[in-house]
Formats: sequence, C-alpha cells, structure tokens
Amino acid sequence: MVRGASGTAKTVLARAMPGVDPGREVVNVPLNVTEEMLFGTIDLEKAISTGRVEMGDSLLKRANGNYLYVDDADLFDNRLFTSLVDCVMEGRVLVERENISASYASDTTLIASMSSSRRTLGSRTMDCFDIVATMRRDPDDIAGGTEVARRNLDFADGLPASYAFAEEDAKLAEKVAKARELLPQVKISKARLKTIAQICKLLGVKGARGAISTARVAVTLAALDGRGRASDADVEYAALLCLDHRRTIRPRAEKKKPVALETGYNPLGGIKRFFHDDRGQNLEGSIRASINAEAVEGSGGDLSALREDILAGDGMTEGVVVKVGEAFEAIDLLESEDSNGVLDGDDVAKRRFVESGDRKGKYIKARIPESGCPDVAFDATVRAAAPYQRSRHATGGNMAVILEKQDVREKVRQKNVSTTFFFVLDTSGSLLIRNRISKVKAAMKAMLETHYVKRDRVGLMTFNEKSIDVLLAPTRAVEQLESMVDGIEVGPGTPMSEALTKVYEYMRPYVTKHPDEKCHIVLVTDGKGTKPLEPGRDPIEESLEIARDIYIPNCDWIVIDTGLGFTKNDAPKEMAEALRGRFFLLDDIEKAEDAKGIWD
Amino acid sequence: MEGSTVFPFTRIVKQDRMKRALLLNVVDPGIGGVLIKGEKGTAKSTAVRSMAQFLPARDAVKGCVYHCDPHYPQRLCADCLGKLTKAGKLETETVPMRVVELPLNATEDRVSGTLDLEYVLKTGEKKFEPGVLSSANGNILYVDEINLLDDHIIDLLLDSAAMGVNYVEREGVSFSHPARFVLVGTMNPEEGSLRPQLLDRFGLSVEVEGEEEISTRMEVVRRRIEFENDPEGYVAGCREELEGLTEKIVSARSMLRSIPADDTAVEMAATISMKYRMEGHRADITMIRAARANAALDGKAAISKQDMLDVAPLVLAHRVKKRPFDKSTFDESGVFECLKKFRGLRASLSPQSTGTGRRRPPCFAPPPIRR
Repeated sequence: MVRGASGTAKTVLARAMPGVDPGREVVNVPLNVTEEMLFGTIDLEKAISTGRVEMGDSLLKRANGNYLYVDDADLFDNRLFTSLVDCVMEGRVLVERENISASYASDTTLIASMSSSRRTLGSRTMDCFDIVATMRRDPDDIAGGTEVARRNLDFADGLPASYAFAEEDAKLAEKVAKARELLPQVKISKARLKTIAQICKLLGVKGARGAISTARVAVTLAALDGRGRASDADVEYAALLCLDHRRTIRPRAEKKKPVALETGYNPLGGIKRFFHDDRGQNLEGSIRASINAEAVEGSGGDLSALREDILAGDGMTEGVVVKVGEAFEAIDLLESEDSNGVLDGDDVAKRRFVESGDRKGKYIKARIPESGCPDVAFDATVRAAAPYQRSRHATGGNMAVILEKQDVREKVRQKNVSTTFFFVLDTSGSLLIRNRISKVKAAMKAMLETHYVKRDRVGLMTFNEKSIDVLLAPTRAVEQLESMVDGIEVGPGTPMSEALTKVYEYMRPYVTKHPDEKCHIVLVTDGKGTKPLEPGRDPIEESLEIARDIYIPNCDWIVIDTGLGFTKNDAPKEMAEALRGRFFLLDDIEKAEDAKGIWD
Repeated sequence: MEGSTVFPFTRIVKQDRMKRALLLNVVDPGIGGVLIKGEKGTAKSTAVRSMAQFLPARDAVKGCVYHCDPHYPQRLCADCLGKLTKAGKLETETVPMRVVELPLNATEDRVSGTLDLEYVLKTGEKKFEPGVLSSANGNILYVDEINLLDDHIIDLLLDSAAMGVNYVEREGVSFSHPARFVLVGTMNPEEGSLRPQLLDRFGLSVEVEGEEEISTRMEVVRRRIEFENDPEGYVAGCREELEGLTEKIVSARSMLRSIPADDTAVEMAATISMKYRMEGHRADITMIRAARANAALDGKAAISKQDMLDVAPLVLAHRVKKRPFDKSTFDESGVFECLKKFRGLRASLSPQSTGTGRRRPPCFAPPPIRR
C-alpha cells in the first residue's frame, strides 16, 4: 500500500514496476469495476455458441503471476475491496455466481494507492498489507523538488535525458533477479526474531501478521543487498515499513493522558522502559512457523548456544528497538506537521452508501428482480439466458439470442447519502450574557469541521418571542452560516412550543423532498419555554408534550445546553429526553476534537 | 460550423484571466484542464462552448472511433496499434478539435461505454459500445455545474483524467481505449464545492466575478443584444478575429517544445510551491507547463518571471489547503515575494498586472465590429 498526498508519484511508481521486474505486467483495477469482472463470471460467447457453462476471463485471473494495481483504494466499495484483498491473501479465487461454481489460482502482488494519509481502510483490511509506505514531499528540499519537475518535463517532452534512466532500471532489475535467487538461502538469527517480537509488543501490534511481515521483509532486504544474513539495519527498516499501519500505541499521541505507564509512554525515553519485558515470546514461534524454519539460525538443538545468542544479542536488541521507536516518533511529528492542523471533513468522514431505491447511482451487481418493473441489467440478463440458447433455438425463433422472462435480472445500485445539519438556535436575551454567542459559533464550527462532507447541507433557524425565522434554508454554501450567526438579533423570551412546531412544519416536507438525506436537527438553547401556544398552559410542560409527539423520518435530534450560572436548569436535558435525542453541554464542544463523537 | 450560434469568445468583455486559462490549455493540453468558479451570468459556459469556433484542427488516425493521435504510438487504441504494426504506418486525416459536453444526468454506461446490446442479441458476440469518454479523446470535455455531478460519475472521470486511458471493466466488457482530454468544469460555488480528489485533477482554476463597472456592464448588454438580433451575422463579423486567434494558437503550439524549461524557471516553480506548502509535485510541474504555454502564446522564446506571476495564481488557488469554513481568497502577494529573489526582475513587473479585470487601468475600448 502506497499512501500519500496527491502528486507524490504513487501511481507513477506502481506503473513503473515492469521496468524493474521485467516479464510481469501491471493489471489495472478501474474504479468502475463490477464484481463479476473482478472475480469472474460465465463466458458469454462460449455459453451462447456451445451451451456449455464455463468461466470467462476476469481481472484476478489476468493478475495471476502479475501485479494487480488499485488506484484510489479508499474510493472503492468497502465490501468489494475487502473481498479482493482476501482473494489476494488466499492466492485463490472462489466463484459462486450465475451458474458458475469454480475456483482458480491468482498468485499476484497487490499494489494499492490511497490519496490521503489520514484516512484508512479499517484495521482489518490494512493488516492484510505487508508493507504500507507513505510518500511525502520534503517541504524544505527545493533542489529535490526542482529535480522532480525537471525529470517529469523531460519525460513528457520525450527528451533523450529521460531515456538514460532506463539503464538504471535495467540494473535494478538485475539486482532484483539476483536477490530472488539468493532469497531461499538468507537467514535471520533467533535473537533478531525476538527483537521483532518485542518491537511488535511495544508498538501494540495486534496478531502475528505484523511480526511475520517484518521478518520476511528483513530477510528480503538482506537478499536485495546480496547478503546471506538479515542485519539489525534490515530489521529496523523492515519494522518501519511493516508496522506503521499496525501499531496501536503512539508514543507522542499518548502524551496527554495521565495514565502513561499503561500505554507504553515514558516521558524520559519513549518506549524504553519495556525493554526487559519478555512478553512477545510466543510470537517468535509463529514467525518461525510462517517463514522457512530453516532460515532461522539457531533453531536447531543446541540450546546453550541459543541462550548465549540471546544474551549477547540483548544490548544490540535494545539499540534496534530504540531506533524504531524514535523513527516512529519522528513520523508522527511529520504527520502532524503535514496536516498543519487542517482537518478536512472529507478526509475524516467516511463515505456513506445505501442501496438506491430509484434508478440513480452506481450499478454494483445484478440479481433476480424483486419487483414487477425492474431496472434491467442487460448484461446479466443475457448471461443468464446464454446457456439455454441452443435448446431455445431448437424450438424456433430467428434472433441470435432468445430471452425469456425468467432470464431477466435487475441492477442493484448504490449511492451516497448526504447529510443535512439543521441548527435551531434559541436567541433569547441570555445568549448575550458572557459572550455565549461566540461560544455557540465555535461549537457549530467544531461540529461541522469534522463531519461536513462536500455535498452536505447546513441550515439555520432562530427563535425568540419577537420572531421565528429560517435564516438559512438548508444549503451547500456553508460559508454563509458564519455571517448569519454574526448577524443574529437577540430578542426576549423562548417560545419553545411554537419553535418545535415550526421545525416540524419546515422539516417534514423537507425530508420528503430529500429522501436520501440524513438529517440532524441541533437545538441550541438554555432552557425553559416562556410562552405557551395554548394560552394558560404551562409552557414547559406543553413544549415537552410536543417534543414527545414529534416524529420526522430520517431525522435525529441533538440538544445543546447553552445555560450558564443562574440561567442553568434541567429543562434542556428533559427536552432532549422528550425528543429522544442526545444531550451535550456547550462548554464540552468547543474544539473539533471534542465534537468528533457527537453525530454517531 | 459547430457552435456557430454561440456568442463568440473574442467578444466576451474582460474576464481575461478565464480566457487566458482556457487558451493555455488549448496550447498545451498536458496542463490538465480548468475549473471555472463563479456566479451565474459571468459568461463561464459561453466562454467554454464558444471555444469550438476557434479550436485548431488536429491530426487523427483515419477512420478511428477515438480519433487517435498518430504522433504518439504509445497512446494508440488497440485497433490503430494493430494497423500500425501490420502496415508500418497509419493513414491520417484532419479533424476539428471539439468541445464535448458531459450532461449532469449522464449514466455511467453512457460515460465510460458499455456492452453493445444490439450486437449481442443479433450475433451472440460481445462488442464494446463507446461512450462520452471516447469522443472526448483529444478534445475538450466540458462539465457544466460539475459540483453537482454524481460521485460515481466523478470516479470515472478521475480514473481517465489520471491515466489518459479509459479502462472499462463492467457489464461483461473488458476494454480500454485512450481518453486524453482537457477537462473543463464550471461551477457556482453557492451550490457547494468539489471533492478534493477531483479538485486536485484540475491543472488550473479561476474565479470569475460579475463586472461592476457601469460602462462595462453596458458594453456586455450592448454586445449581447447585437448578437441576439442576428447571431450568425454577428459571428460571421468576428470571423477574422477568430481566425487570428486560431493562428496564434497554432504558432504557440509549434513554439512550445522549443521553449526551454530552464533551471531558473524550474526553481522558481519549486520555490513558489514550497512557499504555499504544496504537498505533491503536481503544482510545480503544472506551473512550468502553464508558464511555458503562456510565453508561447505571447510569442516569446523563453519563460520570464512575468509568465510565472501570471500563471501561479491559476495553478495554486485551488490547491491551497483551507479550513472548511474559511472564506479567505488566495493571497497572491506570496508569489511576488518568492520571485523577488530571482535576479533580473523587470521594472514593469507588478502584482497588479496579473490580470483580473477589476484592477486593470481603465483603458477598455471595445474593438470595432466588422461586417
């Protein structure tokens, strides 16, 4: 897996692979791929002409013995990508679809790229990658940047200077070929396996896969260098490549928490304090089992020699672990510099998909229709009919392909869900006290910063006894929100009942018009209703009763209590309960980090 | 002639920066397209659509559905490559460069191409039916209101824009064909912004504003009314201007390769990119290409600092990271600061001369219309 900002040559790297590994090609998986093309399906032409059901071509079949390249892996449908990764791990593909029951080998090297280093694919999928490398431009290296631009232009213009590099590629290819020959003979010492196990433990790597990858990569690095034994440097380098995406303990990130002892953080020396911890012993066994057992030196019978090896290796082990720990600290530091404090909602928030009810959205697969007038998937329909063509032709008909009703398949489509954030702001006088309005603004910003995705909508309604207004109808132009809040006029009283009714009247038709939207209604208030709808009733009781009765489909409620000092009371909390919503205090959500969990 | 009843490009009042960005891409399609942001009624769509009136003709392989460029053997489609290896050379023809429009309601099978159903039903064999991306090869692909385009259609564009090849692996078809196009998108920022992945694929971006000077607005209306009275006649009246523009583009194209991307130019681009904390290298490369095209368009034999200054805002504005609710616009002064370090800064050089209509000296005089 290659991660990194755009324009850091991720795709270039993947496509250049045949240069250093001649004879293997790069099979590209486009974003528009459908399941049956990736995993395999019936050979249409053969089925029509012979009536026999056989597997046709598929991307994974073509990838056998080659590289499989997936660009923008984070944009793929999660389920599709996970099953792809599973097949690559297995080295075999099992197909059970459309009359086909088959399995075939797909021994391939998966190269995936992802545009943002902040978004991940979920730890299970990530764990399947042996190596995750992050591409980064050194922000101070002008000479390097200049060279990159120069080579790129030379290449695009077809200047002879760029062909000089083909020679270097050829040299590298030779080195790779030699390393491949050498690989089976390369050995790694037991002490170094122990080092790997310790590093894994200290970084909180779950499962044995990380350790196995590290050991294999260390051995491969030695082979690439033409050496017969993996060195400490190999182990260090391998750990950086294989464990970055698997570690769960981040020395620096844990700084804030007072319980540092349990997290492996030590203010004096990173992760040093765990050096003499022997946990991780059992990992060695699994590494040894997974890589060639003979490759591990000292795995024979001579126990005393082995012990000596471990004892002698202890000091050296410590050095490696410290170096790896420090390198990861540096990586974390770089990453926090990279993001520069900018958390873009699109990077943080996941894409949410649902099956589409109308005929819009991405066609992901076909199935036997569920309704009377299906969205016909012609390709799947023809495939379903293909095996029967010979027999159907026997009974007449002059079309090349004869379709019958039972052949019809429909398209299953998928589309994105977008979100509407509708803020309902109580603008009674108390909002002015102690500058609460700026805090409200900060909180709104914080809530949106981490969750707003480009096509979401934001709306604003304000209420006091003078007026109840929808200041901003839900819109994608979020920038308008801030100036709206700046211009808010404060008035007396809190007509809670009427406000709730107005929200209902506004949002009910809204959700009908926007069936694909998930709506969050955020009620920002400091409390008690002061004016009932029905004269003479208790305003609080009435507003709670209305709140209990309100139901708007696809909507959930969040109540934020702006109360402070003498205005503080229990009414907002009761309101949240009556609305079956969640409840937060304004002071708790000032910063983006605090607001992270608020919508889920 | 295609697009003959569209209001002519050369008659659009001001909006120089938008026009320049479009022309740069015509001169060097490798720049990577333009994103035009602006409110309605700022001649965005008019400018793009009217490009058909002056786009120069180009060479293509005769009879090829994808109008393959015969000068690049690596970029040929499978058919043309087969012909080339068989016959040793390709027959060529001249075709007009076109503006191909991608409607918002396009379905994915129409965009990337799909199984030719009729052919399957008639013959029992598979055949690929090309879509919009195939006609876009070598042309301009225009998407109006690009921010409203469905995500899965955007995904198709992303792939092709990145690789120059449309890979189709769906609905039983496994096929690929060249799809190199200049992606031009227009959008109204009030309707929300673009996904970052797509934003990054655009080489240049430009923000257009409505004209606020009374005299300018009057001129806009005057020309428009004149056009509407007799569209064909009006366009015919501009024929000479349009032909002049075509000539200018053709000569710029022929010059392009001979303009060196010298070390100073490359270093200037790198320095500016660093200053604005560009993450990848795409900005540097685009900046040099755009500066080179800019020089070529002006008939100059070398890239000057003024060229850099002209194109840097176009390259950088949409790539600068912003917080989600940040309304601030791109600050151009940094570019000027960066370029100060390089010697030989011409006296005339100033940030004011970079071209949005507003800060220009009021030397505006409409060219006479020939009949």
